[in-house]
Amino acid sequence: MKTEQDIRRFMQENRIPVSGNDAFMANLIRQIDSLPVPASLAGSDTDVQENIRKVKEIFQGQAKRRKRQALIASLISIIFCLVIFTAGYVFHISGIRNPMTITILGFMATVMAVRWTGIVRI
Amino acid sequence: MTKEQFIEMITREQESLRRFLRGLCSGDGFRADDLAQEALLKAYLSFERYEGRSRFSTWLFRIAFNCWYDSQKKRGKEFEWLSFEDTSSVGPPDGPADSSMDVIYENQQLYMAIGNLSLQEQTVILLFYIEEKSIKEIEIITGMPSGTIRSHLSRGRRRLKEYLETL
Repeated sequence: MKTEQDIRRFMQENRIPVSGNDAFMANLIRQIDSLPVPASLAGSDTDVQENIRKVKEIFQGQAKRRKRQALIASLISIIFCLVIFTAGYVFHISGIRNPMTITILGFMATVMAVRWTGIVRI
Repeated sequence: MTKEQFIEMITREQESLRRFLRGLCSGDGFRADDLAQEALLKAYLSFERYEGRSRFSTWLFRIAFNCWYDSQKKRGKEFEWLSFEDTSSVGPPDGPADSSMDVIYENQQLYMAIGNLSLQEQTVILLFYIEEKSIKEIEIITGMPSGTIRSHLSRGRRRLKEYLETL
């Protein structure tokens, strides 16, 4: 007469073999990576808040730096124009007062200032 | 929990899950792995529904069992999974639950042993003896009441004993 023990032994001895664990997991992870990360697996609330704070800090830092660069660029272009006009008056260079020259000088001053402060890569 | 921790947990559970599905799929490894993949991706996308009331592996088995159940319904062949409440009419089918069984695993003692059991009995036997799940866990995984599980287990056990006598 077969007992419960015999059944357990038989079932364990005849366990279904499973192979290819690594390949299965590699394929599964590839698929998981192609899916968006659910909010429930994005880490704890503390982690999420910490990440948000870091991202905010980075953006705030960038905004401050750009404001400062824009201000410096404006000042440089104004100073450049003032120097040119002062030089024009001191050395009596009449062409300086020409509207076309003023426009070109202003444009050059702005480009130089922007390039020098690195606001925009030219 | 993070995505990496989730992957680590399913890495630990995937082997037993695939074995269970392979048993349900009568040894069809490709189909079992497809179902396991579907189940694990579903678990990943619906992780917020895991309330932690049962073990993580039990939750995964529940999803995998549902995937298998749905796929059986779609296949529609010889699928006679009766209402879990209707225990009085539950009986073993005349032949094996899946005709592909003999073809795929004619030399496998296990499939020969459980081949004559009904799908419900096979499920309960595989979970109880192979995956060593408790009645409570089987209840969660299959959705069957514990009384039904016990009667399937008893019938399956009797048939297994009969089979072992013939060896």
